[in-house]
Amino acid sequence: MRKLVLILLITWFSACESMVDLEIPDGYQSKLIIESYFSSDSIWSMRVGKSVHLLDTSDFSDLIVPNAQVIISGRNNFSDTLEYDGSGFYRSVHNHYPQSGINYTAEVIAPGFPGTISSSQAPLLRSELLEIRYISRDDSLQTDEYAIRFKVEDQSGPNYYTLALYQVAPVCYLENWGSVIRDDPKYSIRLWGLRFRSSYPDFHSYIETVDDPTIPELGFYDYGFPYFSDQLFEARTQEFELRFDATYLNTIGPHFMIQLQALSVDLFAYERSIVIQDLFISEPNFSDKNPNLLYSNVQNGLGVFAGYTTKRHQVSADGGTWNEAALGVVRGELQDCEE
Amino acid sequence: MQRLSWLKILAYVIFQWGSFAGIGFAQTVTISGYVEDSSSGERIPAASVFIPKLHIGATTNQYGFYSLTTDSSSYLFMVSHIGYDAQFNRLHLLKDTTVTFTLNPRVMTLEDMEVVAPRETAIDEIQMSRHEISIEEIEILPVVFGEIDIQKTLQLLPGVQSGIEGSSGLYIRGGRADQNLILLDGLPLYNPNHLFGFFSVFNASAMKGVELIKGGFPARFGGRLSSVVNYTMKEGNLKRFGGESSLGLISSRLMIEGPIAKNRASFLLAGRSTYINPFLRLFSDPQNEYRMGFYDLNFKANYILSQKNRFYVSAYAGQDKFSFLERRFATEFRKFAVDWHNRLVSLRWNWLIGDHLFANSLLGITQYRFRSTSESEDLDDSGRIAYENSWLSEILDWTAKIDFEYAPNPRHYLRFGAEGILHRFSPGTTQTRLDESNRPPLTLLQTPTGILPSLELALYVEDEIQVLPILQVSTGIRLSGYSAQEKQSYSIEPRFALNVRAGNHTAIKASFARSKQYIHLLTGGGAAIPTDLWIPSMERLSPQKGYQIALGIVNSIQDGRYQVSIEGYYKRMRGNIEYTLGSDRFRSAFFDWPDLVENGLGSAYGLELFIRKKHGYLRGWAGYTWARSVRQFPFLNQGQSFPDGYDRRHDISIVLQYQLSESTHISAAWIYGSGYPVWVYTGRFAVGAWSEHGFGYPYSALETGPVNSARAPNYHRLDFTIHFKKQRSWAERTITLGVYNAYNRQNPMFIYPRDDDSSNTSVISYHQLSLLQLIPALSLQYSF
Repeated sequence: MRKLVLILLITWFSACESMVDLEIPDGYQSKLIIESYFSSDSIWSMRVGKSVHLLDTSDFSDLIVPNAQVIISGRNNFSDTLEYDGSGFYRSVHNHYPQSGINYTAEVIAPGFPGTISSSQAPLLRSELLEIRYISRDDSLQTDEYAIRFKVEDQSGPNYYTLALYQVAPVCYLENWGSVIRDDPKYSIRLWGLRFRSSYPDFHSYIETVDDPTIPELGFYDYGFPYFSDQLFEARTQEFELRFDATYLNTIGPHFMIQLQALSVDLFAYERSIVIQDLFISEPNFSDKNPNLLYSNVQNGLGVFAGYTTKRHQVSADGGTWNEAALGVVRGELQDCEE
Repeated sequence: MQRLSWLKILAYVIFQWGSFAGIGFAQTVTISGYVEDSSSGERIPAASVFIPKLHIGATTNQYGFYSLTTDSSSYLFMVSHIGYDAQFNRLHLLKDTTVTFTLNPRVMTLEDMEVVAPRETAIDEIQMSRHEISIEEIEILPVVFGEIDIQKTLQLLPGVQSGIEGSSGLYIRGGRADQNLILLDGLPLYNPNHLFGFFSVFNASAMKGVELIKGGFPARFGGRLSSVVNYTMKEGNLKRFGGESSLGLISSRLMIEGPIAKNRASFLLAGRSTYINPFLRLFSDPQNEYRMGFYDLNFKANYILSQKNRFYVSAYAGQDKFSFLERRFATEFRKFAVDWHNRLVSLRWNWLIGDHLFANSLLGITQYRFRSTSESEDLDDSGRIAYENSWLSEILDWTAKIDFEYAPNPRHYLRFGAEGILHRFSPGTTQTRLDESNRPPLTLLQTPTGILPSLELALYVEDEIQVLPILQVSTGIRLSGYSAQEKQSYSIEPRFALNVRAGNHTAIKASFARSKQYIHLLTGGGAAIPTDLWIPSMERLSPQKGYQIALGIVNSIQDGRYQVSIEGYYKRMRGNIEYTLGSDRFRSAFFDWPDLVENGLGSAYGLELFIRKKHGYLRGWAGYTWARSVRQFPFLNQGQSFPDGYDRRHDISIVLQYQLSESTHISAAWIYGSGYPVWVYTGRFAVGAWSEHGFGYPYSALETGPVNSARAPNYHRLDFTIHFKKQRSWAERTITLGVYNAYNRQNPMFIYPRDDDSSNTSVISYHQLSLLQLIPALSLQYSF
């Protein structure tokens, strides 16, 4: 809002932009950058990089640290030393997976840098699918409208979530459009993201607005992949109903997936700070003289060590469940659509 | 010998205290009343009523009132004020008398410009760190877009800075913009800005003058830490109808005034409006339309009930509007709009209770409101959906105050009074409206933070005494109390000032003032955005408090033609607020503010040199300030102190006006300021933001360094104006031509990093955005 107003003013006053030579303080000390987003779905991994002076023009590929020692530890004397796997990534070679609800600590030591330490956990997530029901068909749009209900049991303390809804469908890539559904068996079966409507007042399309107060309930709003917090159901169970229009297909029946993710506070705060900083790099921030600081839970370093938990409900229109392998769902690059 | 001198001093002091207590050594009489302009009946503040034989005198107060006590005899009185012919009257004073003096405005010729010998008021007055600028002076200074801006003139004084380029903001002696008490006819204004800060709300046609006090605040002022900016509106001509109109590049003004009942009641009505929209159309297209504008209305009326009673009504209303309309296809439109307004209305009663006692009572209401609205409308086969969401923030103040001024004798002046302000803060109200075809419209109101009432009360007393012929002392105390929600607070604020004459042309001055501020402005410190929120002190958000010590010397050269002053000051502040790191400041209206901000300390010190020439063909001033302003917050900069965002080490202003002929004068101003601090990023690194599939593509993230550790480039510019006056049969016409930033200096308004991303690297460089480069000014004015 403010940006809009002041960008206009700049235009009006025939602004002039020029490069300035500011004296960036000397004596910059490089720090380790830790990034580990862990969940019980994948083995332990971490990317370790380094920061450089602002005016250093090194490639991103030069900002990795390949000679670090990365140790993850948890309760019951759990400890795993991750091995370097290229491109700055360190992974567990012992096939260890994080567990939700358990606090883990990551220690990273690398020559020439102060050692870092950070702790976090993947939150517990309890969710249950309650119902799916058919509502109506719209032949003009070739869609069927469904309603789906599920509930989330919130843990005490601040919690943040994301929500996504998918339809199983043949998908291809169309130039100038991107991915599109084509009801043709020659295209691979994919998870196709659906928009949905909900009367829940606290879904947010942008991570920056999640802590805003709730907007009054005025009807069903349209969402894609919203973020939300537990500010309306702290430590309680909350039911949600989503309505959506799914393309009816001859190739494959109506199968859907709700993907719910619980983000740790560290992950949420870090992501939000990255988004906000990115908004104000390369353009003036008229309302605030100060730079946008990145959140970090890494002592003596930067970045984040933070967990998340994913829960997926795979449901067909008749209320049954399905699995990806049985339906032949694949991931990876899309094939081009044929005209 | 030395012992004798001390005895003399003691005797003098006893004599003085005797007279303060009303113990007369001879029969005394008091002459009191007002000093007025003979052509308009307008009362003249700061005029001098002087008895040369006795070397005693009085100065009129803000309302033109004076009181002078002397022994019963016949004396020659000299009544004078800058811009008026001095008047000499011999009066036989046998009993207490009320006399209204009238002064004739001086018609200046080139010949007599150099022979004016003013009284040396800056040396005589006890108040230090004070500047008073008449509208006549301001009107001939350089202007932007042809628009006279009083606040921009104040920025040319030492110790005063504008903040970001082009802004009308005031950052005084290391203080922040919210620490200035900006008064219009005695009532506070919260957002004195038009067009996001490029112009102030004060229409020069409606103003009589402005007084700026940077330190040593008298006890009658309180509630802010850094300054008092006291605007007084003209009263309206009691004798004849007249007015003023002005046509500028982006706005026009019109003022009319005249008697309602001759010599008994008068009015003044002034309006100002902009017409920027035709310019904005140049940047619009059929899909995108911009609109922007502001207006001001000032009204004042007064009624003289009797020689001792006069009533005034003052009112101000001003509003800004901005909107951006986007049309998509023929069926959709989106509109974003912001508007804000200030309103105030006051009723004042001047009452001359006796020959020694003057009272001024005021009742008033001030309102500041900001609203942003987003609207959309979609039309399709199924009907129409209109959606509107607006956010409203408002402050409403009810003010009541009474001030008494008591002058028992020429060497003693006592002021006392009381003030109460009931604030009603509504920082965030949202209104959402949905209007769909075939459904009843739905409207919902939400006030996440509710309405926050608070009450400020204050009592004060000021006592100004000439203890010795060379020594004036002013002592004062202000007792203030505050109540909001569960929070109660009080404050004892001592004020002290002294003036020691060192010879005929020199005075040494010192002052101390302690003050407390019960309201805060939540701001990111950038442009003067109306969404910056005023919030009251509350639990975990303490009032701001501070003190200032100042010491200075004033010297008058060549019979007052030149005035030179040097002042040093030290200011200490507590309860300053800054946003906590990472707080989401765009949505501060919705949050629990104490969680958003940190309380910290601030200190500022500096030295100001000021040379002024008020008379002659060549007039003007030069000011130089050396200053430092630092802040310290527990969770910012690792608890280490850091330069304030508006810490400017060197600041120079040179302002010159030259009368080329009786109808032509030119003026120029050169401003220099060393660079403001910039809080820069010092490091960069690659991040691969989280996504549902794990790491995304790496891109640059930046690490911040020590707070405000770099400096922006220095600021300087030169402005010129030339005025051509011509007397027509019905009016005086003035054509003004000028140029702002004559040598087209690209001064920094905003400093920001730019990331020139390529696929595998990132090159960060700092850029500045410069506004207000060479801008011509043109205006045509008629005074009738």
